[in-house]
Order: sequence, then structure tokens, then C-alpha cells
Amino acid sequence: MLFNTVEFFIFLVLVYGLYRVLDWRSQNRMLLVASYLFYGWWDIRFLFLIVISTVVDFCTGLLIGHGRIDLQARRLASAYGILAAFIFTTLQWRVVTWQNGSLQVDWSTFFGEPLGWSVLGGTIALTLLANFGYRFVLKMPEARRRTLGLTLSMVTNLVILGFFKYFNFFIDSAEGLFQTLGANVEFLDLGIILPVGISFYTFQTMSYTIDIYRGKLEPTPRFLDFALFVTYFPQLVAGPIERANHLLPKLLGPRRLSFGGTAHGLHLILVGLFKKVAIADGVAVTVNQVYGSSGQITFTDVAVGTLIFALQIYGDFSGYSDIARGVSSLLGIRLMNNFNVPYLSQSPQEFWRRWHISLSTWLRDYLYIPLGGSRLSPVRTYVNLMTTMVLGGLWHGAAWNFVLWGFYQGVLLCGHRFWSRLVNPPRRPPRWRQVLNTVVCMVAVLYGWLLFRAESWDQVVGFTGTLLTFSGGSFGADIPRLSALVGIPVLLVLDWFAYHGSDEYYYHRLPRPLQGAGYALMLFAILLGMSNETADFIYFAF
Amino acid sequence: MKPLTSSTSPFRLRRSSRWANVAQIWGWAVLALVGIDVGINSLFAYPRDVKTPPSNLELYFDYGRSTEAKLQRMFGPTPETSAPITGAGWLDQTQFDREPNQVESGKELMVATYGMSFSQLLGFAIARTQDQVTVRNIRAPLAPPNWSYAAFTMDLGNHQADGAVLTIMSQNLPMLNTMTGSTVAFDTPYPYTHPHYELAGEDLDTIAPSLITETDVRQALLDSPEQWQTFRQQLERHDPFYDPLLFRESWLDRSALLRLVRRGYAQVSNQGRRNRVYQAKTGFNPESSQVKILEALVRDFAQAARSQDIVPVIYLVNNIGYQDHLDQLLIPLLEAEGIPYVSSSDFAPTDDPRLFLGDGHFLEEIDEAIAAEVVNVVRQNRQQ
Repeated sequence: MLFNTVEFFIFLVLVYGLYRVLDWRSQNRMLLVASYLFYGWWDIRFLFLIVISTVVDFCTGLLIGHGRIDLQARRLASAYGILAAFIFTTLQWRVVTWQNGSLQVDWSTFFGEPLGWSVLGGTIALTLLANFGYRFVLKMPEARRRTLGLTLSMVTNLVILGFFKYFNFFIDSAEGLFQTLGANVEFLDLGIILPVGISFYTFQTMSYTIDIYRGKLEPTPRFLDFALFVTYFPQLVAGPIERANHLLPKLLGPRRLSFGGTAHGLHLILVGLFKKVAIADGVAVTVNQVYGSSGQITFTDVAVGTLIFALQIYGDFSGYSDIARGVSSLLGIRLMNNFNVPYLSQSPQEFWRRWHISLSTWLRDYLYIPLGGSRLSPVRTYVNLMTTMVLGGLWHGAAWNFVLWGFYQGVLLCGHRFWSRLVNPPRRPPRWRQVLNTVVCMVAVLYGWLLFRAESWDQVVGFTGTLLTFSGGSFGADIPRLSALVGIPVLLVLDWFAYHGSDEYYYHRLPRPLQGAGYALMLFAILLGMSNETADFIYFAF
Repeated sequence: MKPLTSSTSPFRLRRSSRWANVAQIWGWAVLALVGIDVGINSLFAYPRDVKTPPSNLELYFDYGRSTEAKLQRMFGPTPETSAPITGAGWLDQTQFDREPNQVESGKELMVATYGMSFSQLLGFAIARTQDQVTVRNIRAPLAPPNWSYAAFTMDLGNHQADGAVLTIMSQNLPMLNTMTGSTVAFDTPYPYTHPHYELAGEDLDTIAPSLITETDVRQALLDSPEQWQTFRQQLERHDPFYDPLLFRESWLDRSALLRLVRRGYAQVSNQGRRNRVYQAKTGFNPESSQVKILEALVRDFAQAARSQDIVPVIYLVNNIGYQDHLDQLLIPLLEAEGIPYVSSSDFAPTDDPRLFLGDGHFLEEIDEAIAAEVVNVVRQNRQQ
């Protein structure tokens, strides 16, 4: 379900209405069902992958933290997994359709295809095996048990992620490599579909078991609440990637619905819709024309097209995060801020403290620091930075341009670190220097977006050549839609206030007429955007 | 007005003050929205004179106006005082007869084409590049397949074409069985009307529109509310793209912002109607009534053409963004029935945007290559 659709609006009204009248335990059950509905709206079969992560991480969390899983928890987790396999993969929901005002079911195929029954059979077998093996696990020394628990969690999550997200990529790359070597090899094509949001929820649930292993978090014995933590719908498919020690405690107790939280939630939803519908969708046509062009491309095309793409991806992704945070705020659950005016950063390091904060801090805490961070030699620090950023690039998508983009970001961070050590710049440079730093950083980030958006290696080379040779000519693509032309100045003003504001509530402290005018302009831009065709969120693909 | 400071955050105000604060902010917002609305209506008012073309912004802010209001503005008391588009696409034999009806002297073959702009461009390309061929080019903007079929059957016996080309396009196949160009295109409606078909066993039942000619529509719109009401009721019963919120004139037309809301609604609701027939992942839904009727239309077209010794040719236009789903849907049927066809995807695969113009049509050389193939197909089948 997309945030910018009528279906989601109806869904949200129903969920919020129910939420207001239920006690907190019932709220959690209702949110869990709503979250499954939210995700299953896209493709119900892939809910089973989420359930696998849920069951495995719940059990391994208890194994690591408490050394044992009590009988009731084991039974509940086992039954849940088997039931999910039956409901989400064995039953064929695609044959249930709504036609001519009534529900139509093709009963001949509803009860499954061989693959669905195989998944169910496999799930039952694995569940029995796990329960049988549990008694042997209990006999292990504690340290081995903890390591086994963590390994099981990591392997399960990474195998699912690797298979569904990267299998095609590695197969295609291997085929390409063989072809370069002169061998015409064709590997298996499994026609794998990328489940939306798999990278987001996998990282979120992995942080749970890692934190328990590190002793930073107590495992929860409440299975259904943990299932809600994994599938919490506002941030399920495109983040923010929440940490268990931040989100889970809020799900394990009653929430307070405050006037301020509701007001700020509605504000965030409006701002998010504005960024997505007016800005990101409004510039999409222009960006697609520049990056889809096969004709003569000029310096202006590449420069302006990439600048506009920077606005598109910012509007799209931060817009999604804003809506997610807004929706969650309505439910009394505050999610972390994911973007903090990134394009006004003065260095690559600052950019990564402001852009996709939940991912950059995740990579820092679970990859960069465990690799040694900056505690070891300078060379090792650079290696750690490069490794983190390349893997961060690969996290974004199974394609070489994302790897290249990650590599480039790593080079920027290493270069900045090296330069800072060399010249030791003042802590608070003069204003002109700050402006210069921002411009230089922006240009560097923009080139990164070129790598990110490029559709082929040839395009990267061609566009880079065009930029370096200043190939002249006017802008050949269409100008962005009216919604974006109205919205971009509003966005710049909003970000300017945000940059100079002391916290995220800066807007509510503006004079009331200014707040009213801002809302009116955002609504107007949204209406302009709504009257155009809608588009999917870019980060759904990651 | 005294601005709030960080020490007087709206979240810390007393309950009554909080609501007063919200009311004030949204009061200002509503005032600003009213200002924007009035400003747009004054600065970008659609020209009253139907002969004056609107600017891009005037057109943009008018897209969401109801279809009835747009039609009423288009039609003056006479064709001369009406917008030029009002004359396009009518199923009117007198209009068809402006096209050649027999092979011109010095030429050897005649081809009649029926369809939308792709069909028109094909006709132009044949006329431009095939010296030996006379073209009878019958077209309507955005014509769905039922329009093309109706035009062909109406025109049968009024010309001596050797081949008849029925153009079917993936983009507007979901609009098959609309009854007017006013429901096919919401932004810029075309007032022409055409029949609706229904399957009765293997046969087709025809439901003719209650308003058939340009004069009928003018009279109903301007002078006869009862006739217009009858037509509207007919659309409500038979036209799958009829939606009263989009079609009927109402007070919403007065507000620029509400027109934007209506256009947004049109995008969503018409997309929903298209999705019932076509999904980007899976292609056309073979169970949809549109597809079943299309198959019957194609069979009838071939049979009727052959009965008059005319070579029937189906021209399949696979639009960019629709892959070759139209080919997948129809080619098995065409081959099974032995109906000659030409598919655009053999000349302009939809995954190669270089072969398409910015407006979605083919490059001129693609049209010319397709034209040569169409003529070739007619010639070959003529000889058999």
C-alpha cells in the first residue's frame, strides 16, 4: 500500500479510529493485523519471509539472552510459522477477486499449488527439526549457545536478503564475466521478485539479536509484540530503520496520545505528502527524460537533470520518512528523524550525519565500529570506511552503479578525513568558507547522484565526459511540472528554517499567518501534483 | 500578531488555547487558499472565444472542469461559432466521402484505414511513400476499437478499397465500449459518439448512441435538456468510463482548486477502470468484457471485409509502456483465424524509446516502414 493513495488514507482512518478506542494490548494486536494487511496489499506471499525473520529472531533472541526458550514461546512461534506458511503461501489469494460487486473465489486453485504445499511441508519439517534439536542446544555451554543463536539469526536473515535481493545480480554479473572471457554461459533464471522493503526490515530485526548478544538489550518474551516490532507498518517498507532498544519499549507498554504528538504527526504527513507528490513526482518526468535519453546530451542537461534528481530523491525518500513518522506520531509512537537538511552539509561526513540517518548510524554501529572504526591505524580506518560505504552502496540495490556510488562516497569520506588531518581546518570557519564548503560538498554529492541514477556504465562515462568537457547547448528536457515549480521554493524556505531551527518543531514556532500560508502553499502544490499521475516511492526498490 | 516563541510552544498551551491556535493557523491557511483560488480564476481564465487557443496554464487549470461544462463551452449555435474539435471524429458518411472512394488514376491499389492518430499517420505514410496506392483515411482522435469497427461497417459498400486496415492500440483498448470521445479523454474531451457492443452468445448486439451527429449533440446541449438527459442516462448504463462526478456540470467547476481535486480524482478513477482490463505486470485480462468483445469485433471485421472481397488487415499498435501485451493477446487469435496483421513491435519494440517521438507516436521512418509492410500484406493477400 502506498502512502500517497486513497486506499492508504481509508486504511489510516480505520486504524486510527480503532486505535483510539482500544486498550494498548488490543492496539498491538490490531496494529499487527493492520501491518500484515498493509504489506500484503502488495503481495501477500512475501509476508511469509517477514514471519520467518520474526520467528527466527524471536527464538534466537531468547536463546542468546536467556539461554532458553520456554515451552509456551516455542509452541507459539512454531504454530505461528506453520500457520503463516499455510495462509501466505499455500492459499492462493490471487484467485480471490472482487467482481461486479461480489467476492469471487476460484476454489479449484485457491487451496494451493505444488510450490505452496512444498513450502508448508518444508516449514513443518524445519519446525519439527528445530524443536527436536533444541534439547541438544540446551546442553551446550552458554557461550556456544549464544554464538549459535547469533549465527542462526544472521545466516537466516542474510540468506533471505541475499537470495531475494542479490541472486539475480550475482548470476547476471557472473554471466557477464564469462562472456567477457569469451564463454557464452547461461545460468539458471529463477525469475525472483524483489520483496519491497526487505533491506529495511532485515536490518531492523538483525539489530535486535546483535544488541542482545552485545548485552545492550533484554530479549522480549512476548512474541506478538515482537512480531509487531518487525512489521510495524509506518516504517516497514522504507524506514526509518528503527533500533529495537528505541522502538520495542514503546510497543511493550501503553502509549499516550497527546495533542502535540497528533498535531505534529499531521504536520509531518502534510509535509511528507508535499515532498513526495508535489516535488518528487513533479520532477520525475524531467529526470527520466535526461537519464532515458539516447540522443545528444549537453552539460546543461546533465547538470540540471542531476540537480533535479537530487531534489527528486530527497523529496521522495525524506517525504516517505516524514509520512512514516507522522503516522507513527498519531499512534503515540515517536520514530527517529531520518533526514536533517542534508544538502546544507559542509562536508561528506556531515552529509552522512544528515542523510538517511537511520541507515548511516546502523552501518556505523553494526559494521564500521565492529570492523575497528577509527581505533586502529589510519590505513585500517580508511579500509573500514571504504568497506562500510561500499556495502552501504550495495544495500541500496543489486547493481554495479550502487556499488560504484558507495565506493565514491567512501572515497569522499576518506578524502575529507585525509584533508582534515592535513590542514586541520578551524572548528568554526568564517561565513564565506562555510558557504564555499557547502557548495563544494553539494557538487560532490551531486556527482554521486549521477552514479546512483545512471542506467549503465556507458552513461556514467558519457555523462562524466560531458561534464568535464563542458559540452555546450541548452537544456533539452521538459521543465518540471507546475507542482514542482511551485513547491521547490517552498521546500527551500522550509529547509532554510529547519537548518536554522533549534529542533524539528521549528515550524510550530513561526508566526501563525506564516504557518497558515505555508500550509496553504503546500496544499496547493499537493493539489497540483495530485492532478498528475502518481508514481511509486523510489526507495521501495531497496 | 505576537509570534510564538520556543517558550510558548503550541504543544504546551492550555487545552482551549491549543484549539484557538489551530483554528487561527488554519483560518489563515483557508484565507490563503481562497486567495490562490480567486487569483487563478482571474489570471488564468479560459478564453471565452472558442477560436482563441488557451495558454498552457489556462488549459492546465481547466483540465478538471466537468465534461459537460467543457462541451457547452465548445459548442456555439453553429459549426462556425464552435471550437474546431467539435467537428472531428463523427461517424458521418458525408465526412467519410471527403476521402477518395476508388483507386485514383495511374494507381493500382486502394487501402482504407480506420482508427486513431496512429492509423491516420499510417495513412499519411502510405500516401507519402507508396506511389501506386490510394488511401481512404477514416479517423477520430483517440478512437477506441469499437469506433474503428463501427466506422468500417458504416463505410462498407461506399468505396472500392482492396484492403481495409483496422487499427487497435494497446493504450485505449480498455476504453473499448465507451460511447463517446468525451468519456475516453477527460482532460480534452472529444464530443463525437459511437456505438456500444455487447456479446449475445457469439454475436454482437449494437447499441447506437441516442445522439449520432454533431448537430444532434449541439441541439441537445444547447436547446434540449431532455435529449441530453436521455444521452447521459444511456452513458450511465452502457459507457464503462462514464462517471457522474467527472461528467456532470456542478458548482465544483467554479473553483480552480476543486477542479484540481476533480482532475486528481479522474486520474485515480480512470486508472482503476483501465486496471480492470490491463495490468503492466500481467498484460490484458482475457476475462474482461472488453477483450471478449474485441475478439468478436476482429472476427466480424474480417468476415465482413472478405464478404466484399476486401483484404482485412489488423494493425496492432503496441504503445510505449505496454510492452508487447497487445501482440500476446491478439496474435494467437489472428493466426488461428488466418487474419492478416502487422504489428508495430516488429518495427518499434516498446523497450526502445529512440524509435518513439516525445508524444508517443512513432518516428516518421517507422511509420513509413509499417506502411510498406501493410501495403505488402494487402498485395500478397490480394493475389491469393
